[in-house]
Amino acid sequence: MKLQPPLTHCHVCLATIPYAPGGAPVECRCGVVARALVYPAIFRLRSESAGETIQTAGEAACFAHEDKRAVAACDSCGRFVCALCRIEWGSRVLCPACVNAAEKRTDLLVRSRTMYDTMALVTAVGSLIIFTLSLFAAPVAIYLAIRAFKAPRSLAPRTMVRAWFALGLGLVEVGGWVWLLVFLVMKAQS
Amino acid sequence: MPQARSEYKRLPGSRSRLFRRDRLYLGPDHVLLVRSLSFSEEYRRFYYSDIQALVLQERPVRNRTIADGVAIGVLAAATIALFATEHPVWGTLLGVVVLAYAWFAVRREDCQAWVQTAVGTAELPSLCRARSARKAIALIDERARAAQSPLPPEELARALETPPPLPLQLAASPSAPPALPVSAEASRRPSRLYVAGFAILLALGVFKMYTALSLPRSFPWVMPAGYLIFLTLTIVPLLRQGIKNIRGSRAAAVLTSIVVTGSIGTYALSWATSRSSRNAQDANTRKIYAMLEAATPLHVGIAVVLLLLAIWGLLAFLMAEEPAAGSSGAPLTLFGSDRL
Repeated sequence: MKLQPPLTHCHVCLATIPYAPGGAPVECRCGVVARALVYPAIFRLRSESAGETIQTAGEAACFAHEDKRAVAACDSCGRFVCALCRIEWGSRVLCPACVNAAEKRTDLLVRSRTMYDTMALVTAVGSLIIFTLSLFAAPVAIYLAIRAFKAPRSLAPRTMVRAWFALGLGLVEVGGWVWLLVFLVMKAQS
Repeated sequence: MPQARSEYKRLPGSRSRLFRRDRLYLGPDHVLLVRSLSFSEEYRRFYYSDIQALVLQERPVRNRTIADGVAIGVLAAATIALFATEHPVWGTLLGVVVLAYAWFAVRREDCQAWVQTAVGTAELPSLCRARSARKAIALIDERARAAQSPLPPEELARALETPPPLPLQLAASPSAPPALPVSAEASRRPSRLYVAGFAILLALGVFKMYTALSLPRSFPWVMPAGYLIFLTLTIVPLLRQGIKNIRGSRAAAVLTSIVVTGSIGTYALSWATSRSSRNAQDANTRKIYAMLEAATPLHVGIAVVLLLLAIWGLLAFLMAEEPAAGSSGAPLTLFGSDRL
């Protein structure tokens, strides 16, 4: 196993870069300075086991069994898996490594999350541009802010300032509309 | 829902684009690449035990991008134009902006970083500035070495010996595996109407700059008509091919240009119609219009915006884009050259 393109070539002039061991800097002819850090995983051998063998040279191989024909790709990490390694997880196909990891921490299988706090903030602030829109947008912003508190949060560190701000702004907007309605009714009565 | 404290620690470096931001986080056993879109986040994990190589390529300061030079040149020309038309205050302000931008562009050290795993190679977009990239890679390196049992340096050096040829040369090799089928969607190229649209925007910018610096201003219907043609040339292919066909900087250039020219175009149209019916207006309105017409910095500013948008769009569409995996006819080698 060796370094693969595009790592092997300069990203500016596309010349081949002869990397030096140990992460030493190498200067390309165009002036780009490149370093490569190589780890033992590059020489890791894959284990062999029984299963459906590859018949032709062009077939994709299983990640864990390089002589076995791949029948799917893991939806979490992208590795090719053979029929032995293929695990159906709901509507998804996973490899054994991802299932093992998921047993300990379920968030390892998460590939994307919706940011309801950002949606709430944009809805609340956006409706201020045309204030009449806030009649409909403010309740939506409050709903989205509450949903943001209940929904699974970002995997990365992230505060709930957006949700709190959107909730506050939404409540103020709703309060403003209620006040306006009461004011108009009282004015009509007087 | 009460949630535990996040187990991730943010790494230095971040890359922001229009409606997209990439960041890296250190996890207990993996690096997490977080791509923040408008209202969602996408995650990709690189386990320390799976990392085969980390590559960092730093671009020297002298090797600046064309876009920086063009932007500084256009802004400097606008500054000179403002001084030449006796607008020293606006000229000074724009001059300060040009100097700040040039200082930032000269000091900035760009770089590109990749990670290789058994699955394939992936760029780490957040590591685009050399100083932060060096710090981040040092932290990842420390954990990747701790997670993997050491090998003799000779074996590690062997992985760097002879790099494989470029993907295009690889395709010609008889022993190379067949390329994965290219989907019809991936093979579609962006419409040339975009290039035509940005060329017209460039002409509009030049025309606007000319009319901004020459009084009295003439041809009031040229600009609204030009905006309309540009919007037609960009919106039609956008509706026909969809936004997925022009990703990255191209999509950003097209969408920004549509929003900006749409906004400016609306005002230009109302300006042209009101100018033609000026006899029906009162003295104060005529005075306001005359004042706006004489505001050279405003017109120069609009011209600069149009020129920058046009150059951005033309560079995005005319410069060679990196071939996507599977779309260039090159074979997709998932397990490296040992299988060739």
